Amino acid sequence: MTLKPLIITVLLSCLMSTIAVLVYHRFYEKKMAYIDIKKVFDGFQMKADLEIKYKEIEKNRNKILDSLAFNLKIMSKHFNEAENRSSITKSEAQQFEYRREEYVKLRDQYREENAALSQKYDHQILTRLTQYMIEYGKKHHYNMIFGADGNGTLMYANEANNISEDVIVYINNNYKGVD
Amino acid sequence: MFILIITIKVLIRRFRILVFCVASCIGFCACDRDDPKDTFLGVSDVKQWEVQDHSHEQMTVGEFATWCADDRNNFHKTEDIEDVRYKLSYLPAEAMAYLELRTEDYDFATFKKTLERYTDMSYFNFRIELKNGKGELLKHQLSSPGQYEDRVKYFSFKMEKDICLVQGRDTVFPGLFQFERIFEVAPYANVMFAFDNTLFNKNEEFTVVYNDVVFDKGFIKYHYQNKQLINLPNITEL
Repeated sequence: MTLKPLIITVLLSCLMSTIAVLVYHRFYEKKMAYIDIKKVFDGFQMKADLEIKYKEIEKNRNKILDSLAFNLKIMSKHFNEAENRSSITKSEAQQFEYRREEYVKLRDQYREENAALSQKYDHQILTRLTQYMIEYGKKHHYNMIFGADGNGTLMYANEANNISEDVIVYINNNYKGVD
Repeated sequence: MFILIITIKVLIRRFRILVFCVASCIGFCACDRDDPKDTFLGVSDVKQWEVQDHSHEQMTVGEFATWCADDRNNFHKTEDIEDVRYKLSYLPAEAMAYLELRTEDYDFATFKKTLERYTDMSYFNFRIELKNGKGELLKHQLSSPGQYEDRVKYFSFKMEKDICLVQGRDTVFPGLFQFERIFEVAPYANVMFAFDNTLFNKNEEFTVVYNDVVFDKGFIKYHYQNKQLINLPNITEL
């Protein structure tokens, strides 16, 4: 037996094996990957934009509250410094009480509104993030994309399957309207 | 083993072209060209399309209008968020003049004169549309009857505050704004707005931002590249 047929056989076997592997990879293998949810969420530009907006609103509300609190403090100081409690008129006491109630009411209202606003922005971000993830998965032919958030949903995955960086670039480009 | 070698040898000799073709086809099919790992950090996603220079091209008014409508020029940008579609279209001054004159008989001098009125600003048409195409947009997901009136007022008078053009660190708000109310005729709302050309550099990239507070979708951004709005074809005749 000469060496030539043997080499041909080996080469042909390699070729067939490669073809088999490629066919399996293309048609049968389930393409899966995972993302680090926190990393993607934090890297999403929309989150940064809405965070700035939220802080601006919160800051403006705090300014209003601080102004009311300052007025209350001045009134309170005036009452404390009054030599005789009887020198404080009834209308002054009523006014103080009215302003104090107004302050407490507004503070509670702002607390509720801030919580609702934060929830609303979170919902907007998650909705958009989910939509872009679906688009990304379809575009790159993924069967599944898992979200690792450290709560045990995904116990182990090879780092090579971590597509968080790619996803961050993709979702930010979509969000910025760059396509 | 000997029989296998002989068989393969015969097969290769007789069907080598066929084997080659089959192997090539399968190999070609097997290559997944959309795999994100093929590119560094999905750079294929980052790459922007290239702005073409059309300034040397010459065309008639009608051809220009058709050219503007062509999606390949990227004047129209669409963003779908859940059940709502947001479409922003840049309208060059020439297209605005054409839209104004299209129902009349006019000559080239009239066109030029009309065109001058639109050169100071950059015009955009913004359409908000229901993707399922049913009902009036302003009545979509109403939580109370009074909300409809609030939405009409918002679109007519307040919406312009939620639209801006961002270039670098500058923010420009529309100098002109017009809401086109179409009632139940179509499931969309059209808004036309324009930015003063002296307040931003049309040569450089910018982003038009809309903050949707009506349907609570948040910021929607449309990016226009460097020189995209200036390298337009020249209109030479009607």
